[in-house]
Amino acid sequence: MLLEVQNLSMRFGGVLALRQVSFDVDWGSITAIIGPNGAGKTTAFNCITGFYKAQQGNVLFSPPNRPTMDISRMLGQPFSWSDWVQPRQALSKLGYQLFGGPHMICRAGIARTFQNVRLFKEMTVLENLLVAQHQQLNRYFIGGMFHTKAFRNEEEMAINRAMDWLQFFGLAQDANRPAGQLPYGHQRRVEIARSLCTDPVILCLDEPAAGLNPHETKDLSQLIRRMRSDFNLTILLIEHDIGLVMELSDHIVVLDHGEVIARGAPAEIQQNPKVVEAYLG
Amino acid sequence: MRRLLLQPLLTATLILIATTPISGLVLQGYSFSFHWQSPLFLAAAAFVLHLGLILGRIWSRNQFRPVAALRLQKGAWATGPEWRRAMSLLLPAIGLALPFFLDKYGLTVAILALIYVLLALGLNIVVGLAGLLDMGFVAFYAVGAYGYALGHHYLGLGFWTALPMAALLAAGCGLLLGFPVLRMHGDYLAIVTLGFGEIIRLILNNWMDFTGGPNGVQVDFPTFMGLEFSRRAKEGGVPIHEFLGIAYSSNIRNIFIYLVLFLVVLLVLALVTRLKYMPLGRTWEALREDEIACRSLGINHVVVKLSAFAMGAMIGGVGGVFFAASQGFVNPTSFTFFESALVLAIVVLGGLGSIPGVVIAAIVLTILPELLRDFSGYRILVFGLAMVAMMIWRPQGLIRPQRRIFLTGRH
Repeated sequence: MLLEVQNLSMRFGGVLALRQVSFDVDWGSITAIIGPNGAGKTTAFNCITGFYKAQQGNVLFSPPNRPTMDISRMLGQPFSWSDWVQPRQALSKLGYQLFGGPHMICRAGIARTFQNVRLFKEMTVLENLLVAQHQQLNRYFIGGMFHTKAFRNEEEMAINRAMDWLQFFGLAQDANRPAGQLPYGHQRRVEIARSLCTDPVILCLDEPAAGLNPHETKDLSQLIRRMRSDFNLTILLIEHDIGLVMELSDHIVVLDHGEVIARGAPAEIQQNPKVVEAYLG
Repeated sequence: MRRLLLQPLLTATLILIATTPISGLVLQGYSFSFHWQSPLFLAAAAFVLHLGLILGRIWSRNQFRPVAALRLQKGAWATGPEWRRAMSLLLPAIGLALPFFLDKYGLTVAILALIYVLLALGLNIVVGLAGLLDMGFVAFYAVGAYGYALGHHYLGLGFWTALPMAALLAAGCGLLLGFPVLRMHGDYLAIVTLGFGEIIRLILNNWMDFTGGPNGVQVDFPTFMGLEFSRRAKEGGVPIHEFLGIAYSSNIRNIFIYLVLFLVVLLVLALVTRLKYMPLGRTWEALREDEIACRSLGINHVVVKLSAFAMGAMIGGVGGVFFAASQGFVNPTSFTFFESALVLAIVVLGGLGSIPGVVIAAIVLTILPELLRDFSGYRILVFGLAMVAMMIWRPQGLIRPQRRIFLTGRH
């Protein structure tokens, strides 16, 4: 399993947004989370990508050739009495509390997009993609100041890498336009391209087809498939377009009122009476 | 090769013709003697300088060709690359020559304008690039100025030691301010930074034993390689006018401060321009656009914010050192909220994030009140009207910040 979500619970004040949610994401699969509005899909997503700290439960991420990581630990956990006995654990907690956060999750290999597109609107499309490569780039201050050869080579490599992704998404001609000026469908694709520039293992798409016309949706589903086949990406997505979900995904998780009501292959889900009642109608 | 040498030779000849009557002939009473060495030396220097310029240009051309060539979009500032290049050589030359044509008052205003250019460039990093609304920027200016003044008073630091020390001290204060405001945005951040600015001023005002309170601190005037700028040097030193063999003038000190300040401004301009196109500068702008998206891309917003605060504060601190050096005296009344507001107005009017815009706005907004001295009663009114007019006709600021255009074709 690449990603294991175990008994995740999340409470906002009196509202229990997630109740003991568990599901797995296989390496190389396309997994979809569906459910009616307010079912807790985006909350689950935010817990996985580190934007929320779940009150209970674990999210274990085991990328190939690397040790398993616990995402809730990387966000910084509160200290407890047992830390007095285990100073090493206390130290690691302190480290994560000081330097942890969502950026650590991204560096571990989980990239995400947002439901309402969050581009750097005043910056050009290419600059958006360059910002995403920040971790891989030469950040030596002196090198940049004096435009050393190493710095220029890295910048050029970053530009080329960004252009590769833009070409993949058919956006190469928009590279120098301010991202905010692009049509909505293109902005969505820029956002996906940008998150891919962080070199992720798993890509989490939050309603990638929202606001797209049927033609664009079809293109998108092809792109998602190609991302998996050409780049060995695992994809986790939230989507309302049932047609797209059924066509794309290998595995579906259905949420309702913060609980998982069904898990399985698309064909099973379509037959499941609970799902039909709660969501498909 | 011939063309390489031809132009420098021409320059050298011209220099020789032009300087022979001036520096070659020395009057001695009614007769004059001919010193042939000095014009030849000047000509040789010009020759070497010009050759160096040409070689540098060739070298830089070779250096930059293989990079995915970068060019700037046509816009308000750049009407063409040649025009731009000419300006980038001409403006520093004018700036360097300027102090020799100004009287004492003019020099004071020019120094003040350059100090505001520094402050505006510093605040431009925090507000314009990183999008953190800082209303207490004057605090760092005060830290720089008092860093030099108190450093001299207690530790006997000279100008040249105080310059980097005060810059680092201000950067440290930037970090200090940065930590508690990491989670804040917009209005809340503005209020906290406003408070920080006032705290620094109130400490300076009330800590009588250490800072001298409202009485201020006397600052030693800077020296240059041990040469002093006073009429008579202290304890066996040599005043610079005796060393150079020219008549004493109280302007010499201001000219010196102006020249050093001008070079520092050029340095900071180069720094800021480069930074804008480095990964660090890009993340500052990304942070301004969308902090959450930044985090989703693996960028640690803490580092980005603190670096913006520290860098901006450092430049502000350098401005403060020059302020102290040019005034010879600092007291807390120079560091009121009005200064913060003025610098912020400069950055906003110049165009948030636009470096040439901010420089022009800083110069205009320091010189304009001086020109309006005759209507001193209405000065602030005219000032306000100018701002309102700007906001109506150019809400983006004098010069819109321009995005860098990448030539993306494969080569």
